[in-house]
This record gives sequence, C-alpha cells and structure tokens, in this order.
Amino acid sequence: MKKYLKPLYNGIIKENPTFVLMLGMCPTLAVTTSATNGMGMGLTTMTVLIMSNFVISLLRKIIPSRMRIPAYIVIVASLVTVVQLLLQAYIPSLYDTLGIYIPLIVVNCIILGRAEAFASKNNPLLSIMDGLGMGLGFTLALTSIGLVREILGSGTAFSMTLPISFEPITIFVMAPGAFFILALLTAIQNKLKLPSATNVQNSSLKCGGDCLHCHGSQCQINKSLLKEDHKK
Amino acid sequence: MKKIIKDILILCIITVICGGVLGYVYQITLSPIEKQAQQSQQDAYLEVMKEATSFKEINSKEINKLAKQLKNNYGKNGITIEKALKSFKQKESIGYIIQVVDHDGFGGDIEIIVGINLQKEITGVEILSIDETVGLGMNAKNEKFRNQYVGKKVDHFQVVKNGKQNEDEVDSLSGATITSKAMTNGINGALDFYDLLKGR
Repeated sequence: MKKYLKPLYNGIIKENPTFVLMLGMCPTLAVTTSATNGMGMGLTTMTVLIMSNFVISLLRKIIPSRMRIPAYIVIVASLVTVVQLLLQAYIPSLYDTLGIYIPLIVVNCIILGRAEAFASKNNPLLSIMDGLGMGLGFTLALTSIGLVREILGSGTAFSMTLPISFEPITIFVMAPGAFFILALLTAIQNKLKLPSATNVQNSSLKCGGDCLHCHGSQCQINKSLLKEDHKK
Repeated sequence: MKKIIKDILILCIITVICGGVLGYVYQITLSPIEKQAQQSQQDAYLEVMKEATSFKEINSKEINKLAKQLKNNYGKNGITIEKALKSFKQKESIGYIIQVVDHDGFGGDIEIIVGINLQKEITGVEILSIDETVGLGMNAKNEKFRNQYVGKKVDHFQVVKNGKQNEDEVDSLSGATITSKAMTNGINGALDFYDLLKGR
C-alpha cells in the first residue's frame, strides 16, 4: 500500500512538477490568469496524464526503445483529442475557457517527461498513481499561481469579489505578470534554499546548480570543464 | 534490417489503433457537440430578445445583398454581417436579431449579437466570441459595459472617455479604447443593417 501512496506524495510535494521540477512552464504562464482557469487546465492535464501513463505503462514492453518518442507522441496526441472532443460535447463551459490550451497539452513536457521517466519503467497501477500525484501537484500549483495573479490583477478570487476593495494591478493578469510571479516564486525558493530546479545542491550540472550564488563566471568554468570531458 | 521492419510494424499498429479510437470517439461525440453549439446559440438569441418564442433566419444571399449597401465607416477593417433573424412572439413579429463580426478588436475579430425591437430599441447585446486582453478588453463581456447599449433608441453610438452625458454616448473601458470602439462599431453596423432590413 505504501508503495502506491509514495508517487502521490512525490508528485504533490517532493517533486511538484511546477514548483520543483519546473516543467510545463508554457501552460503555467499562459493559463494562470485566474484561479478557475488554472484549476481547469490542471485537471484536464491530470486526466490526460493518468490515461497516458496507464496506456504507455501497458505498452512498455511492446514499444521498441528506439521508437519510443514517436509512439508516446501518437498516444498522447490521440488521448488529448479524445479529451477535447469529450469536453466539447459534455462540459462546454470548461471547453470555452480552456479552448486553445487543450491542444497545448500534447506538447506539455510533464506528460512526455513522466512517460519517459516513470511509466516506461513501472507497472500500470503505479503509473496511474504517479499520473494522479503529478496531476494533482500541477493542478495545485496552477491554481495557487492563478489565485495570486487573480487577487492582485483583478481583485477577485475564483471570480468572487473580495471583502476588501483596492485598485487591482492589471498587469498581473497579463503576460508580463506571469513572469513577475514566477520570478518572485523562484527568488523566494532560492532565498530559503527550498528544493527547485534552479536551486539544486549536488546536481549533476558541472556548476553545481547553485543559481543563488552564480555570477555568470560559473558558466565559463562550466564550459571549460565540459571541454575537458569531451577530450577524455 | 529485420529490426527496423519490426519497429515500423509496431509503430504502425499503435497508430492504427489510435486512429480507430479517435474515429469512434468522434462519431459518438458528433451529435452532442452539434446540439451544444445549437443550444448555446439559441440561448444567446433568447438572451438578447427575452420575449421571443421563435426565430426565423433570413437567407444568406439576401443578407449579403443588403450588407453591400452599408455605407458608413466602421473602422479600419470594417464589419461583416454574419446572420440576421426575425424574431416572433407567438406569431407576431417583434424585432430582429443581428449577428455581426467586427474585425478591429485588439486581438482580432469580435462576434456580437444584437437584438433590436420594432421601435429600434436595443433589447440586448451578447458576445459570442472575443479574444481581447484579460483584465482590459475582456471587460467588454461584463454586463456593466454591455448594458450601456441596452434600452437605447439612437442612430449611432459614440465612445467617450470622460463620462457619458448624452443618450448616444458610451463610456470607454479603461485601458481598452480599441475594444470599446470595435464593440460600438459593430453595434452601429447592426443598427444600420436593421434599417436596411426594415426598408426591404
């Protein structure tokens, strides 16, 4: 039982795809204009992720390793189209708000990433749990980023007016605001030395992955070390 | 060589199965999707003309012919009349619903439907599709903005920035003058088209 709960914890907290792995930044930046949008995108991605993890895990012994990427893409793209058609037919309101972002799920790196890193090596049940955990983590991240942007930018939360009134800072719901919020988030993570892709101790990167104390000079050392590696 | 053929075959089978599943799902969702689209359009029609009980579409050839007679200036890229419907309460005609696309939105086309009763009073304005900036132009969807047009009986609307004073003036959305102008041009076009329809 514990084995099956671990991927859940892993996806939501320890390896949260947005906050820690920093995967799938495009949809994160694009759809988090409101908490509801973020949640919708997160849940849709979760559905696709669970299904794709399941199918890919079932087929993991059949798909030849040299052909795995095209095979994954075919499977993921078909699943996304299926979800899109179902949404359009049965939940049109959600389809209207997500519209153009649904096809974007095909190229969401979380989905291909989990297929490659997890589903292709584990049994179907574990893969479903991994999809659920990662999906929930993604949903949680998108909803909270969306909530912050919505409160600052539109003065509402989940489309409801806040009890305190203030002049909203509109730029936070526009594209630049997404970058501001993400930059703030990363800065806080780096300052508190919380785990994140920009703040990895003992990472496999030559520079150590310590962005907090990097002044650019690290890059040069990094390059020369890589060159030496190549010579060997 | 043998390996390549095996790989190709497996990928081929996966693709064919995926295609089959897609075809099946497409088939079963086809009619619900159509129904949804019809339903949402019907809802929008009712929203702009609440008293109506039935609608009769005016055929597209006639619309195109009439639309050529629109002479006023509706911004840089102009407008297109998509559809026009005569609406009835029981069997009595009570007005027209005009679906118009304005091409001058900040993010492209804005599709609006306007209900106009026989006294040339606007009974409702709904937006079918819009792709403006969130937080600025998107506020055109708010009732507060749309209701500025409703209940008015004018020839043309004008966008103003520092507080409307006259019946035919509309307050611009702050930070979204282009969107406000596009909406107003679309509605002006509908009003002109209404005159043409009535003068048939």
